[in-house]
Amino acid sequence: MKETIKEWMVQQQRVAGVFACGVRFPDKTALNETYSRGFPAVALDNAWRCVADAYQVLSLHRIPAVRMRWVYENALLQSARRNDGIILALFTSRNADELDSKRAEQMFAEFHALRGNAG
Amino acid sequence: MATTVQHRRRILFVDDDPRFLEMIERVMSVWSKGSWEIHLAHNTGKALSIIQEHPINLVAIDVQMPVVDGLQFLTLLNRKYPNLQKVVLTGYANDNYRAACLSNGAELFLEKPTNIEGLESIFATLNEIIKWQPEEGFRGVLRRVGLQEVLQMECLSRNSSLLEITAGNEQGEIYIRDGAIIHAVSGNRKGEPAFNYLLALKGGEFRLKPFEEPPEQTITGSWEFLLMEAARMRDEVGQQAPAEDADPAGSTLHPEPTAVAPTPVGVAGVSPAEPLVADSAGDEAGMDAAGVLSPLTDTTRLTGVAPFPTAMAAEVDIFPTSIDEVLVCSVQGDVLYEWQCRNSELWINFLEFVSQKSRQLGQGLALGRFDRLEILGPNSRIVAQVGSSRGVIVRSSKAAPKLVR
Repeated sequence: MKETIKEWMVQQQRVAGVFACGVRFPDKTALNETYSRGFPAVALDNAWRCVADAYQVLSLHRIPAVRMRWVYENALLQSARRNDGIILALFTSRNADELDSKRAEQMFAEFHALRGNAG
Repeated sequence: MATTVQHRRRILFVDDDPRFLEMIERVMSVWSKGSWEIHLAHNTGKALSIIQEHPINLVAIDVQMPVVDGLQFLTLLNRKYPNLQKVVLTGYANDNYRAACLSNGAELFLEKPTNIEGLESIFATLNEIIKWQPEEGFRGVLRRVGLQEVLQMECLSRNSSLLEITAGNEQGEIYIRDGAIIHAVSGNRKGEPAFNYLLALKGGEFRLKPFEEPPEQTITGSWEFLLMEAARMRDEVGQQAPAEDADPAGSTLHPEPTAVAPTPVGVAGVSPAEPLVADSAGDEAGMDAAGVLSPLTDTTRLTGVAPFPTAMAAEVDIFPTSIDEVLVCSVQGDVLYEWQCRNSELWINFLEFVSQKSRQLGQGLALGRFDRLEILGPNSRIVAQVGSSRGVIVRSSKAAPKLVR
């Protein structure tokens, strides 16, 4: 599955209003794409880890979380978690005029629909 | 360049394995090149003494220690020292245990190293964490430490102190000598009856003062037994009270859905005329661009929180919703308003966790002030808002379909 996700990530075109995106795998490895200098890879790794922690804590409390959205003053962090534990996260603009939300939602839909070999 | 004493970071390692502690001290002292002041404790009592004596920046705890469970210790630390950075080191890296540690204030949950590379990695990680500047915020002041917890901490660390308690017209004193509770007095009561009475007082405040020799010694039992007995007596009194508190709290935040409930009114401490939380979102991306009133507006009106993107909500077919739980608490952790909350305490812990994670998540990123976390499940939606003066939780779910006859 990891390879399928990697290929899918490589194919992704930049979506308007998305500052950075990433995928975190259950083995704690991650893939990052950054489109803004304000979102360096090292900070993204840390952010994805925090998102994964939150999913884990929610799971401990038996709160089923399909999607999460962290709302900050200057950006949104939107994420989705598949049943196999793989997480897709996007840092996006809060400005509706800047973000292509239709395309961003399409990314989440594709991410959920991806099927591949286990591993 | 030599590290000045002022810039040294104080790190405390708590582990019951003396060989591990010895190795940690030897290796980390060399790698940190004097920038770390390393403290070691082989049990939680010693750890508490060190924390009280030195302004520790970070504590690394082994969660598998005898006598006091590491998770319990972590919870105590989180309540008394919410701004102290805490890392768990363990050989028992179970996912559920990890989540429990994280939700009880641990910044990180790390596997105990078994080789030199692992140790290097732990050093690098801890060295990064201590660079994070502690911030005052919701988390830093959220917890009001309870009398029972202070007693537990004082006894565990074998302190000698005097606790002065006042609640309305009631007042009393508890004397602790070398970690043993030796005397309690409140009005005409003395000894255990006074101790139990003081611990059962609701509200009020207490002050921890330097130890003074009591006029007499009226208590001889172990502090663990005394605290358990006081808790049991408090529970008995609680069970005799009207049924409001009778519903036992669950161990998780998410109980089975309950009946659809009416809109909450009459918020204690919060004017019902104004929104509980002001909407700071403004013109947000991803909101309902068509301007169609979403069925989620019940929640929106209540909290001032804009709904999830339409596509996202539609994806999980969440409409229509009913509000299942509402909690509003102050930054001190006092419940200002609760409605159908099965376990307010756990929700408050969760708000602390969200506050902590939102800060960690923003490290190295110019995200600005954190406002809220929105969580969408297959049939539920939770908004956890962390403000400078209060925290809010709203849980809503898909309402049961109406029967058509």
